[in-house]
Amino acid sequence: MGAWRKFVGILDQFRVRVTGIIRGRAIVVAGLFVLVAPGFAYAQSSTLQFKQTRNESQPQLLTAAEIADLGDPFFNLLLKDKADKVTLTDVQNAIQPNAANRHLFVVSERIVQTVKAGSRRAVLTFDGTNGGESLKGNVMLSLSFGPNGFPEDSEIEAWGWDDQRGRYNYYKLDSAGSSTDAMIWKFRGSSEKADLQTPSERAGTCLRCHVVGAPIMKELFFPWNNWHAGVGGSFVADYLDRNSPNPDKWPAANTRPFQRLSTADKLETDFLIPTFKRFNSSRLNAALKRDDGNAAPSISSTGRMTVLEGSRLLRPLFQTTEINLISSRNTSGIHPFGSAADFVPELDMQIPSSFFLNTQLIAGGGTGGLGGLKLTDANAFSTFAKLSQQENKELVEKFKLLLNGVRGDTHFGWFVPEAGFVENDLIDQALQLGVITPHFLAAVLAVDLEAPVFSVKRAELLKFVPDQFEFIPVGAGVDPVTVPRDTTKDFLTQAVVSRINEANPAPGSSADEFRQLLTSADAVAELQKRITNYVKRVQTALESAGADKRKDELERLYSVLVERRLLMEAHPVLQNLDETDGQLLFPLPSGG
Amino acid sequence: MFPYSDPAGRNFLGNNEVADIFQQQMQGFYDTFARRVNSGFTWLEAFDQLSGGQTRQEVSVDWSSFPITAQATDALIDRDRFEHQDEYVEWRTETNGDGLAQVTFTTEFPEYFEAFAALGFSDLVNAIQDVMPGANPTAEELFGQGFNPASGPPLGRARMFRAHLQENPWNNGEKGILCLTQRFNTLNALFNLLAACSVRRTQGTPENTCSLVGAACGPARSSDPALCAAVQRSVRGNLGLSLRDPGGVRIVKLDGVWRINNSPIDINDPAQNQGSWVVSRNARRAVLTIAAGLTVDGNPVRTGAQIARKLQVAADVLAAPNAALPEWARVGVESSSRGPE
Repeated sequence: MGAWRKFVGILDQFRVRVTGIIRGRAIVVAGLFVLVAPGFAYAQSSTLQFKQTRNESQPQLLTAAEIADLGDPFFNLLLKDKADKVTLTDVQNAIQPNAANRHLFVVSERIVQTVKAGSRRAVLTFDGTNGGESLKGNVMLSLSFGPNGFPEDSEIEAWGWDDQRGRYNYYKLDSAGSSTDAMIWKFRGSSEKADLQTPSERAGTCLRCHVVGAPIMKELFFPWNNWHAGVGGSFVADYLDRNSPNPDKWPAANTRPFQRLSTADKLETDFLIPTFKRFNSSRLNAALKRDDGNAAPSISSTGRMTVLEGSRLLRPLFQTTEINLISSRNTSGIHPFGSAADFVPELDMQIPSSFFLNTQLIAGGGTGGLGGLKLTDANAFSTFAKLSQQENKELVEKFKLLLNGVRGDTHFGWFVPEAGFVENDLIDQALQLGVITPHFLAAVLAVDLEAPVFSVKRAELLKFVPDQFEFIPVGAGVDPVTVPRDTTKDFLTQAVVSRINEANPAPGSSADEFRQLLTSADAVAELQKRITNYVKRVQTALESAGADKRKDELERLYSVLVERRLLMEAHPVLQNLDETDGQLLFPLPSGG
Repeated sequence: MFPYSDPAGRNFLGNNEVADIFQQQMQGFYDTFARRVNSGFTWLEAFDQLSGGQTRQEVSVDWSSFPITAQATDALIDRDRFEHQDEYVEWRTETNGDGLAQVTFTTEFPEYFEAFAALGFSDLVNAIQDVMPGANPTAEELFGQGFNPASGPPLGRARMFRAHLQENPWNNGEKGILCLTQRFNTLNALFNLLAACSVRRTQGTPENTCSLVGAACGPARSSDPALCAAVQRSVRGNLGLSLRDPGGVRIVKLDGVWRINNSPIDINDPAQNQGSWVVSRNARRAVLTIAAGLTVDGNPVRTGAQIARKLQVAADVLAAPNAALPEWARVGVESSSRGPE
């Protein structure tokens, strides 16, 4: 056995040496290995051959039909006939030979730690074209690196967007299925019906984390806690930036891929937000009735369109299916990897408005650029909801929060799950098209207004949404909030009220409240009223009710903050988004 | 004096007197802020006199043009330019029967046009026509009612021009847009920000330095904290720094996925964008023309604010080790420094 291992080791060394130089010989050697290796083993060929449904399952051969169903740029440029390219350099060259069109982003819960140890996660994106494929937002890679840069034999996760089929395809390069640790590309699944998967179906698949099938950037918005950024006082990992004045950089900073180091704001605005919008356009389109053979959704002679999967489409409006993580735009000063001088007791930390309510859908605008209901008073929290670093520190101590096993807080404080942008955008697209009216949207959001995520009250209302309903599409270029309400044409509201009536809910229940809102003259005005009262109540408690009341209110708000973190950590699907086992993503109560 | 160049890349329209006036103004800014006590901000001349074989580094700090402090809808942000557009970028929208037709962005500071105004009315008109060919501004439009530019002193003309910018139809959007006018978007504010944030702090992180320098930095904006953190990081790395010539804010690029009639285009590539996005004046001005079928991230273009979200701008800073700077430019000698000769 020892001799065999030595032999395999020699082969592996040889393979690594020649792979990037003489492709033919590498294949010969790998093929030889297949003949001599005991048991079942795979070799990489120039065409993608394998799929792997779960991490723990053996790779299987793709059928010709399955291969024919792959049409994304990552497949077309690499896996179609260069699947034997397994080094990062070769992979990038196959996707985009022009290095100027590559972009590198870095994320890690340890991003603020400069010591030359451990690893960071890189996301590689591309723009421009290659081989007739448009690359911007259509291909991304994700892999780890250490202080010295990317290892030659990195595992790589990748996705490509198949515009024709309206889905993401996920791939992975690793040694699964190889008894020699040879790296082999596998197809790991697509985003089709990802939102319908149960937690057990997701286990061991890419959809464990890609909850609705879309790419993930948990900290999507400013200040991108955990990302290398820089805009507006966000964090710059200058130890990775070859151009920074930091004299103690990681050697990785001077490697070639880091010439293209970029910042999280660009990943957000230039790549992911467009990607999410396109994905949602595809999702929305797929939920609409169309005539046979007609690519466009059908419109009846009375000008109506029909939703066929209403409950699935509108589920994110009622239930928390996806989250992002938002934080104060200000630092806490008490990160475990920081220095004592970072703490400035009197410095303010602004509490993000989206902690208080779903600002994206209620106010619209913002950097995500949703239309929303344009009730901009929802943003008012940002003008007064602040606490000092000292107050924050006392709260961290009071709630006995640990980060990385010690008392502390994230770099930017008040780090908390918020309503997921990808889902908010889907709902906003439904609003812009007229699938839901501003009245209907306002009625839903008004229920349990103060719980923008993980609301049990809103979640139980989904059962009243019919799968099939008609709607009058809003004209192109028309803002739905400017369209006068016509109750006779709000078919969804009518259907939901009818279903609630059939259920005959108890007075005071969420369903009863929802019905009252839906049958009111103007749910948008009612929502506005609730926001005004909410803002006034919190502002009074924080600013003008005395020091004791302020302290009580901050403690109340902080308990909500901690509860939301715990709800995410306990959520059967969303808990997977914490890749640190509860240690380093959030400050959590001791033993929490 | 440092030969400060024309920020618009127009060589002051060949007018040496304008160049002199403008350069005097710029020298005033650098002189004032290089003398800020204990600040790493210094004179540009110092970067041509580095010792020890050191070379200067260039640090570009970029940010999004969208005013994140605005608690307003996109339509209001477009309409109330002087209230909301506070990221050193301002824009004018033009509509036609089909909706939004054109958005013009500017990052030019008024000082440039003040130099022309100081020289005379016709020189100012020339400068405006260089920005907007066909413009035919009157003295009343540029200086306000009752001011006779022919009889006023140079400084008086410059001041009146600046004071009247919000009413000037060639600037306030009625007939055009000329330069930054919102109250926070001033060259003085930019210099003040850099100088204040270049005082090395022993407390707090570079990212929250903005909150420690008082009114010099708006911590809720995109631009101010980005610049502040970058220069504070530099001075903590024992670097001296300055605003690169030509001083100001330049337009970098449009982000996002752009399509015309559903075909993807590189909006920043003039060869592909069918004239939709034209950047001019040394990247201080840009015009987006809304062609039929133009979309960004799958959405039709409806407001200027929508574009501002995608528009990156930047300021460029020069940096070099403090110890390599000439003695008169180093941190700690500001009050006694003779400055550059």
